[in-house]
Amino acid sequence: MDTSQPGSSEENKPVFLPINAVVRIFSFLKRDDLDRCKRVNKMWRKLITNHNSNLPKRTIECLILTTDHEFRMTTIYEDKVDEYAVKKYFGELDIDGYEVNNKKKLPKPFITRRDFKFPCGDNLKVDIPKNYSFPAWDPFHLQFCTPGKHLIHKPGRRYGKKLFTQPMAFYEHLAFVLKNCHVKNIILHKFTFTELFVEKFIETLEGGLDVEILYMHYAKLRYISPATFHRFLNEAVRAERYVMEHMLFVLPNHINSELMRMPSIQKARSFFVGYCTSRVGGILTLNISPQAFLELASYNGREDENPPEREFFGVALSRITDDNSVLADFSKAYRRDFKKSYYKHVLLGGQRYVEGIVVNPNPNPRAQRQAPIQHMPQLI
Amino acid sequence: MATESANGVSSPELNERDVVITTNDNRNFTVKIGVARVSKTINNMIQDLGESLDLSSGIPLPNVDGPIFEKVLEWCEEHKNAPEIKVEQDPHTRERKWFTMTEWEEEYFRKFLSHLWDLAMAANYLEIPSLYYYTCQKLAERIKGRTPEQIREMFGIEDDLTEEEKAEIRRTNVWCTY
Repeated sequence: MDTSQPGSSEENKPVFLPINAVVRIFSFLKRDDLDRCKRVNKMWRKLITNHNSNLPKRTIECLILTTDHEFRMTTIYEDKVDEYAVKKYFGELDIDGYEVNNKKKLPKPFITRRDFKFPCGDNLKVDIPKNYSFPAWDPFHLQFCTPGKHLIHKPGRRYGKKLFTQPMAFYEHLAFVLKNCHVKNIILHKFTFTELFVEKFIETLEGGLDVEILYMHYAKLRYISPATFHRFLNEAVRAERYVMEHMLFVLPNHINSELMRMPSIQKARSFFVGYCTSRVGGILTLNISPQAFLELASYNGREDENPPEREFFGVALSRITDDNSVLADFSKAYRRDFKKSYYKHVLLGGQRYVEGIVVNPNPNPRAQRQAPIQHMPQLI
Repeated sequence: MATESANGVSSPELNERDVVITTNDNRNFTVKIGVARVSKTINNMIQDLGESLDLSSGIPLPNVDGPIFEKVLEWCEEHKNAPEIKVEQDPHTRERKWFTMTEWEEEYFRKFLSHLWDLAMAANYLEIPSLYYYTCQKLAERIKGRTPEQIREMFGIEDDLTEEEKAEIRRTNVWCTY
């Protein structure tokens, strides 16, 4: 088709452009083209700004947040990376810059599931294989995950003061990079939750995000109450897949029956909580009652919506782990109602159910689970 | 909806009958009703007139001129039995799914490349969703990947933005400055 030359003489005469037709055309374009169209003339700029809420959004492949020695956010869009960090530690006579914003280009477009790696070499555990079993707690893992590169922080320097939570500039930049964007994946790596973070996150993004994957690798729950943490999982980030591994300072109520009854969790395709360390010391048992589990597992969507398609539910440490009869009930129910959207694969401690059939890889889950927790890792 | 209104207006025999349509430059077109019905505006007129429809006196179209209507008719002739188009978009990103065009449609737009705006306007007035959406997609295809200068040249648009305003637009978008 001939689009290379800009048309005949008839096209070059000034035409009256009907507004609804122009908006209709804009709806076919991608955000990058729209940003170029904004520079055509005043009318087009105004049209695009006014119709922003109806026009296509840009798909951000990945948003990575960390609080490791600095408050850092990495946003990846196709092959473009925006790195931003604000200072967390301050010295007495600190006159260095307060924030850093780097932009770089990758050789090819980034695909989170394929290209993302944590500093320890782990990649995303998203599609859980049928023979998967929870890795035992490794006290040295955090050390392997630590030598990340920092944008601002200089190791070896002495700092006297520390910021408790992300400063305002952090949220301003978050709003700036995510304007008119849809975020596909969120990764929290070595991330300390605070009450204020959840509140500001929801406020900045005007009601939270719908994402495919929410992945937490070393999340620290010391400064967040169970209720706010639930709000983060249910309201701030509504994910299709929740994966949480290596959680620190967890209370039994951070992941409890109440959370299991929240709509975002019920609709999720998979929900996974690996080994966690307890805030109060000793062995942690998450507070999920057998009944809440059965309710969640047999959730079939409300009358007016399609039942969600659900694949995997796994919690390493919970009260139901020890209760065999509940799992037997679930297994029976699964085999009875084929059409309900039950989890196809359930893994609780050492007990596994794949499509209603009991598979027990480890006959004594308690023994496996006690040993590793004896060594608490050195925490930052 | 059409089946029950105005006794037998939608019957197959009627679709075969001719109707005269007059455009704003006083040109008369004799069209089969089945073809003219592709346009919802004309279809509504035929239904509203019902029994009192006088096929020989014709239907006036004050907002469309002859040369464009001729092109629109060509489209209607081809699409008289086509099903309604489905407009689909991604629920999360609101990105629209592009229509796949047939060989005939590609050829049609290639032929009338310089009249796309007029076609879009006429299709909008005559309510022919297939032609309207397809024309808009064709125009979007032409805008895609072009610089603002090329777009202005292509559509003959005046540049009324100052350099500062353009710099401001660039500055407020992170992903634009790469």
